[in-house]
Amino acid sequence: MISLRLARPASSILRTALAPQARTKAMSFSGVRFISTRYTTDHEWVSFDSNSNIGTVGITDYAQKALGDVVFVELPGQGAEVAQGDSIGAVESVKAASDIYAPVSGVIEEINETLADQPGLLNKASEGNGWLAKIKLSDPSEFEALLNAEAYKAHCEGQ
Amino acid sequence: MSALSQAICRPCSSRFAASFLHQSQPLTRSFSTSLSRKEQKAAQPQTPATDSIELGAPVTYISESHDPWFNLSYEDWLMRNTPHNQPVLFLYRNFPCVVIGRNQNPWKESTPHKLREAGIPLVRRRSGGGTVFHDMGNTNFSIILPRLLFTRSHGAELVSRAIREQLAIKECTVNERNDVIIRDGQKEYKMISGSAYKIIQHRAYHHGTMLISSSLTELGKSLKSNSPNMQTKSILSHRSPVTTLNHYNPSSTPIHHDDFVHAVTSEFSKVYSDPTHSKKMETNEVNSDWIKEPKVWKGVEELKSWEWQYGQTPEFSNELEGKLSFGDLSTSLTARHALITSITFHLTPSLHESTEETSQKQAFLDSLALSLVGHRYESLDGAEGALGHEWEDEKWREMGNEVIGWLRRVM
Repeated sequence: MISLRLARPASSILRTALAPQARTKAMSFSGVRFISTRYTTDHEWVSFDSNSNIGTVGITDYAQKALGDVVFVELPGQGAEVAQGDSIGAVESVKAASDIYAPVSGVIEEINETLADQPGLLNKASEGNGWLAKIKLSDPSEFEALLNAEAYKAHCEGQ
Repeated sequence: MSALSQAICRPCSSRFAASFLHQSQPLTRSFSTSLSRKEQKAAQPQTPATDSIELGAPVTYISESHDPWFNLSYEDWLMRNTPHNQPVLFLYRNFPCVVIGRNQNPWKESTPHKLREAGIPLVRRRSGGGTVFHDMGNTNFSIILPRLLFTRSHGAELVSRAIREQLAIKECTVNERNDVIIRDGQKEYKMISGSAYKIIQHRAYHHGTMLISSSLTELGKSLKSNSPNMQTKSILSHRSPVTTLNHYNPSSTPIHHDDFVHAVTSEFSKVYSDPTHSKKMETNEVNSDWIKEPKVWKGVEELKSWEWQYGQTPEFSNELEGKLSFGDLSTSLTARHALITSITFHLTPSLHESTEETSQKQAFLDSLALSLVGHRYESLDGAEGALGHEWEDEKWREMGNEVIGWLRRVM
């Protein structure tokens, strides 16, 4: 989603972004639970839990830096059905409204209500507490086709 | 795009061509010396992608329509339907209207019912930022570029250069908020332009207003809010002192829309045309009568819908107080998507009223409040008063109508 580019490659961000992958093979009681994170060329991330089939969606740190101070976050309604690539909301920062796109298709299970009062969380913790929405995936193969951390890093450096 | 653009716009009409020719005698001299390739690149946005993006030939669209909804919708359509790497300039003027930012509150930025009485439409645009006033003395510019070339400063720099170099207003510059301003003396500055941006997947635009000869009295009157107690999560406008280009015009002949259009168009061409590689700028006139593209008209409908104009308002609360025939009433309410989510009335009774009477009125008001939940803020469309057998009496109906009528006036 984010247009602006940073002078510096986003290497430090990616190191933190890699962390969830370390958890990939954590065992859970109901069986093998996979949580992995993938990225889009629009600078969004999806952290997918194969057990619940829910993907948590947010913007990357690279995107957050490019946007500047976020003052408003507009999110879709709970229960909304979204298709991959649809514009599902917008972020306003320094007079710019930037579209947010659905990185995967599915149904919006939950939105991050905290952002209504604290839009700045998107700057402070874009890959943590500043998540945007949780989507119940209708087609998990879409997730598998997204960029892994390494490919996303290459994308950022190539831009 | 060229086939498409020809289908919908005809090349610059003779009227425009004439105005260009007429003005080009004194004005072209400064820009006839075209920029070198290096100077041109330097005048383009500087991002890490500047060297890798091969831009197409620039295209300018000049709207002959003054309908704000059409122009905003057409602008959005241009951003989404022109080739990603094509620099596009769109210029338009609107009849008097107030244009609020995407995430603003219309009641906090203006007084919608006063605007309606004055026949000034309130329009919510798709870009961010604050509220601006448009009239025929104001010309809007929009510079659409590849997303990877987006910077907040480029458009403002281009326009201020056009004003300095081609309209000879030396005081024109850009401030730290990337607004085009007039610097009067060392410290004082005045806004002549407001800007906002919209960014989508492959494209981004910077659009702005340019006060050429607008009525600053009307501007001031239109941007007054009547809701001092309103608390909102919306974006608040940054209020600044304003002036017009003509106020600083060194020439005895006033600057008109066509002069500004000419100045910006030629500056845009200077920065993006490359005749040596047959990238000459094409100029098209846009007339809403010729536009058949359904997406443009669907966009117009969306912009005009209550859901966009008012329903897009971020959550807010308000407190209102009034003297009504039956006592002093205070109200507090909350709204989401401009639909009332909660409302309470508190009655301060007249001195000589019995406690029983007061509590009955308060009970009626509680019931009335409940009936208003879910209704549209201000218009209260379909509000019929308190529900229930006990409130069917004429006396209660009248009281309900009085309260609803009062709310519609003060909201």
